[in-house]
Amino acid sequence: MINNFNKSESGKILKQITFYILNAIKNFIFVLIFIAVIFVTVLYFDSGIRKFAFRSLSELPSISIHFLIRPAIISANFKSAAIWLQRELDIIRWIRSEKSSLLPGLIKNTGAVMRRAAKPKDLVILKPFLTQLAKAAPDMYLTRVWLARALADTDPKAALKELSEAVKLSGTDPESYRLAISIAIRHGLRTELQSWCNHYQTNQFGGIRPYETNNQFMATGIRRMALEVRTQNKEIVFYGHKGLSLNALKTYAFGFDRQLKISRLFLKLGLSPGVILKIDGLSLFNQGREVHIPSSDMVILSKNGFHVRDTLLVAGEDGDALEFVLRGRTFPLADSAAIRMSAVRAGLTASNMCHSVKTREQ
Amino acid sequence: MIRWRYFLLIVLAMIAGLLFGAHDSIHQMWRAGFTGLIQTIRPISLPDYHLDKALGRTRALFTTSDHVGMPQLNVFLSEHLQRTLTSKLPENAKKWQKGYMVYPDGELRRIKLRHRGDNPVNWMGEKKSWRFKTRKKRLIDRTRTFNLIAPQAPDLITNHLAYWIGGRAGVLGPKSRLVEFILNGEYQGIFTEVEHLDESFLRKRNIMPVNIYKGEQYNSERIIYVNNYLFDNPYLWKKLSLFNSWPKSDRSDLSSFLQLLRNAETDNAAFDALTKMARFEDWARFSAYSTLVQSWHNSSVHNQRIISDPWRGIIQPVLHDTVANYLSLENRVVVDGSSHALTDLYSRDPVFLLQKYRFLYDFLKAGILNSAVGYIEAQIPGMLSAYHRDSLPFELLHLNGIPNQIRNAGQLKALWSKLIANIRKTRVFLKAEMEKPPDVTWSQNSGTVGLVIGGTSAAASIRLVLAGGAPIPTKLAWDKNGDGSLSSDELSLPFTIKGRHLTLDATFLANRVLRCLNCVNANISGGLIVTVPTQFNLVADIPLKLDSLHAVNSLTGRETTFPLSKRVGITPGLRNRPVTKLAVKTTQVWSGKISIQKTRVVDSPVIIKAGTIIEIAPSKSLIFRRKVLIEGTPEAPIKVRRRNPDLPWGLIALQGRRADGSRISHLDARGGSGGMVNGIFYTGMLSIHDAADIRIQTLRLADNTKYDDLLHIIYGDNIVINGCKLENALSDAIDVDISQVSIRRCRITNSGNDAIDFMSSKATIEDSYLANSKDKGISVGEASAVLVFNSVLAGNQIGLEAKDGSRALVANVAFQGNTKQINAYKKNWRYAKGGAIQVDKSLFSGAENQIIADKHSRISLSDSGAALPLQIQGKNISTDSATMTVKGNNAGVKTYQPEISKRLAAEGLSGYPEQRGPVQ
Repeated sequence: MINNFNKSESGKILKQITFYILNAIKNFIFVLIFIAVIFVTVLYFDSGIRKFAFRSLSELPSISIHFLIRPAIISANFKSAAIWLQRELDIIRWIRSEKSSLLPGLIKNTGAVMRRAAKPKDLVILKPFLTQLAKAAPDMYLTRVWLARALADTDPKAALKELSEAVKLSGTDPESYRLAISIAIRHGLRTELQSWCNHYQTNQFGGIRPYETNNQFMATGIRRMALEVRTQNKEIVFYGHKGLSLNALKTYAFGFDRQLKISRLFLKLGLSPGVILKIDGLSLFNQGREVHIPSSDMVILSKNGFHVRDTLLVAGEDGDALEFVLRGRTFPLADSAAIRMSAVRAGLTASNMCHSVKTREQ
Repeated sequence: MIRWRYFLLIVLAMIAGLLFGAHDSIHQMWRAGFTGLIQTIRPISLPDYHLDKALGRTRALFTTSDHVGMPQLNVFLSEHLQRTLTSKLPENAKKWQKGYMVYPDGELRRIKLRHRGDNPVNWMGEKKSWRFKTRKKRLIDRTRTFNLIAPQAPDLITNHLAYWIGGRAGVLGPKSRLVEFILNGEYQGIFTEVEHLDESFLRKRNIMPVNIYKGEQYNSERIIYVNNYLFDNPYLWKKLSLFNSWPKSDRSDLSSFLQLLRNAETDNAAFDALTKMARFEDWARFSAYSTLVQSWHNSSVHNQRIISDPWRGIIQPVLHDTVANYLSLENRVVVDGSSHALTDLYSRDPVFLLQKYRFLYDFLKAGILNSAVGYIEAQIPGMLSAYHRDSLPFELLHLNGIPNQIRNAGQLKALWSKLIANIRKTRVFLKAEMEKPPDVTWSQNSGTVGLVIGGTSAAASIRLVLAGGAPIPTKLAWDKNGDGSLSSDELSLPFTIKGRHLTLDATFLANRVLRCLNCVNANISGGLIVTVPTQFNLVADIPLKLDSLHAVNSLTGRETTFPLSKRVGITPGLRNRPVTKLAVKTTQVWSGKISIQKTRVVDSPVIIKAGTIIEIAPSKSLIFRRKVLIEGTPEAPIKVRRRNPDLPWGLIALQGRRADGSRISHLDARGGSGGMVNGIFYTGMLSIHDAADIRIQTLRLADNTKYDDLLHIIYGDNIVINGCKLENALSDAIDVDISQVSIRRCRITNSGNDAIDFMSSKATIEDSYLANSKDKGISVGEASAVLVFNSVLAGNQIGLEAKDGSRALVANVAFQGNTKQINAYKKNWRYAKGGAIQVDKSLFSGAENQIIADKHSRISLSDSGAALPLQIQGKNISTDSATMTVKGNNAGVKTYQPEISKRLAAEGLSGYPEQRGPVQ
């Protein structure tokens, strides 16, 4: 009796459990389909959300890895960091073999790790990943520089080769030269040292451009500048120049599109850090007549550079802005301006290691 | 409750099923637009997109037209391979797949095809852009690769129209046409077919295989984290065609150009050098063309294609994807635009502007825009018919996020009417702007005259009417420093005087200033060029007092009188100046002993007197950029020798069209080599590059080292060599590329390679003796046409060789003991045929008289004799009965073969029809 009761009761309970389970599964499928329907519907109908969702999806691996990698960076656990970075790279390659939109996230995470990596053994651990990264993104300046750092001690020639490729992409960023010169000095590569020193002092090709934002010149390098004129009637106008030359004293002319009553005058510089400027003077013209203002008659203020004696060292990652303030006078009416100045690159070593390049007068 | 749930579940499942049907679109969008770096995919409305497609398909069902309005391109690609192309976007889109195409002759032949374009819209929808590649053996009009571009503009024609107008304006660019594309029998609509830019493109236009650079830092091709301005970095450019004397990775030509461009902003010498490399004639034409099509789409980051030709030392622009921009004019036609650093700089130079306006005015006068209207009108029936049959005519437009506003043929016709109206408006505006009187005012102040020039038009031939009783000046200048007095460094202005009328022989233009457009977004990188009233003060040796002032429009020559005014202008810009005629350069006379210690580029005419001895230091060179007269005599030749007997000098060159008309007489040069001077590559010890009408009389060259040729002629026209003795060439004695040459009375011996080598040239060789060459006596290659008459080819490895679409006509020639007497074959796949040789009244002597032709070539021998039997190898070799039966040196037939007779007559030669072999 008891057994029968138990059997029928347990069968009932089993039925009930089965019913609840099936019901739960059904509800779950229902909810799942409902979510999927909502999701697909929204993606299909709303292009804005679709774009946002896809963009977010592109960022997801890098954000996730960033959180996972943070403890490893803090504790300098480069083995763990290398594993996570490698996983991120694998995901990226699984989605797309080249030029993936997920790469900038990986570059950001790798940058965080590379900033922390200081000891040779750290770089040894990261080398396999950095090699693969450079292979996956050969035209990214940073991947070449990082790989060169990792190779610097073990294979200096290979490291210099990576840096040669890096300076093709950006010939003005000091980072690659700094590393190359250090490698050449430490490994006694005299010919290479001189070649890199000369290259650093003269190469004006290319530059850096931020990925996530646009700066004023859309890039920094050693070429572009602009005169910003703020007029007495609160107008702001810009006149660009694309001809800054290293190692030469030159006159840089800026033609205005009308006569301007200047209230404040700025020279915006789209220059890489480490460029030294020596400004001889400013000339303002009106209907052909020149008013020359020697540098002794004005104060030059820099936004983020440093004045060393009578020169200015550009220090900002994003160029600089100089303001010309006249001593005890106002700017005359002007329809064009010219600035006479020279530009050289500050040395990366003591001068006895890299011979300096002479400045020509033109 | 449960039933309701089931019902809901079923309904939701059905909706989900339908929506999952859209997953393909969503997934495609994700793969194409969001997995790649820098994709410009816009957030488009998928329901609208699908609705548009459905409507298009429905419309096509009801409005089918059988009228075929333009050439059709039938291509076949298996369903499987089509799926492969779109299976893993975007990687697979660019992988070549095998397919078939119906050729113009109606034959179905194998091709390879893939998608093209850096913008995903080119391959993510149903209508895709394609790239086709034929087999090497089956080129179409000597072209192997074509692009088929799906329309991205609602008018279906503007992309092609830009190429069409470019062709009429003489801008270097690929051939283009509108075609109806049919894939696997399914109609795809109108596409623009465009020839691909590669080495074949160059060869077809008689340009040597040189570097074509592709500048594309946009969409997926952009390199991130670095400055992507193309004119800032040579390494951002890719090569589409290679100058094969340099490594593929070499960018020295581009580096020199970009360095010069930067320096030219501040340095006059650099500017002058830049104008030799990036010639005004090329860039002003292109700039005028940009104005004509109202498009500056070839920008500092996008759509740049340039040819770097190291033989000429020039960088030329090539038209690529410019897109005629008339539909978006919105009442504003632009005369001066600029989209990159070179045109920014050049647009501030008055000489460039004058040349640009001359081109633009000539284009307008030639009626190019009128013809464009006629052309569009002629295409409309075909395009309309295509529109009716095309279910997705504007798919790419939609994918670009531009709402489709064309719902029926009427709206499309209205759009074409607008396009035509805007082209007419552009023509009227530009013509009026070019013909407008210059905007001039003038003022007088303490004896000087202030001229203020505004507007687009240049003020030329300014006529100053001096006040009665005022003295007449003897000197007049532009008072650049504004001090009101004549200074020695100020530009003196030439003038003529007639009574009290003083006419300046100078042209004035207003400043062009690049106004920053995007300053609000803090971007100081580009802008619009504006003209600004500019003041030129004129000063004379006596105070000037005028009654009136007149000037003419430099293009129309129409004179206008201008008012006295208090208007002021701004200071002329750094490059702005009155344009005067260039002073005639003084002719240099060289005689005695001249020592060249450094490489010298002579930019003035030169006369070199008889008996002059020129000694050149090792590796140094002498380049003549103007006319040179080398006046040696038999008794006193001009000798060029090594300064250091052990080390070779570089080269002597006549470079460029300003050296046209040069004469070389009795020049004896030996011991030189070649080299690179100012970005120009010289392989000949004596080099003639891009020059015409050169006469060379009695030339002796010998013993060159390091570089190939004793004499290299490239891009030469009407070069006549009358008497030469060339010995011991390191490689070829005379190398002739893309030139027209006549060689008479030459004796060429012991050449390391060929005695004379022709590529894509037309030439005559007459009364010459070519012997003991390690390779060919005469090599006729790559579509050359050569007549060899009354000459001896002796002891060469191969007497005469013709290949790759070349034709050699041979009359009265003795082939003596060449290892192979004649050879003809196909070497280069870019040419459909091998060589064709016709030999008439010639003699063969030697141990082996081998005459060889492959299956692509043919040789015909007529009325010729041989001491020993001819060893003929090849099916396409024919001999006539006279050759087979008549023996001896007397001709069997007393007339030449018709083609040879015609060519001899064209050259003014009567020939020796009664005899075989040469009369020496």
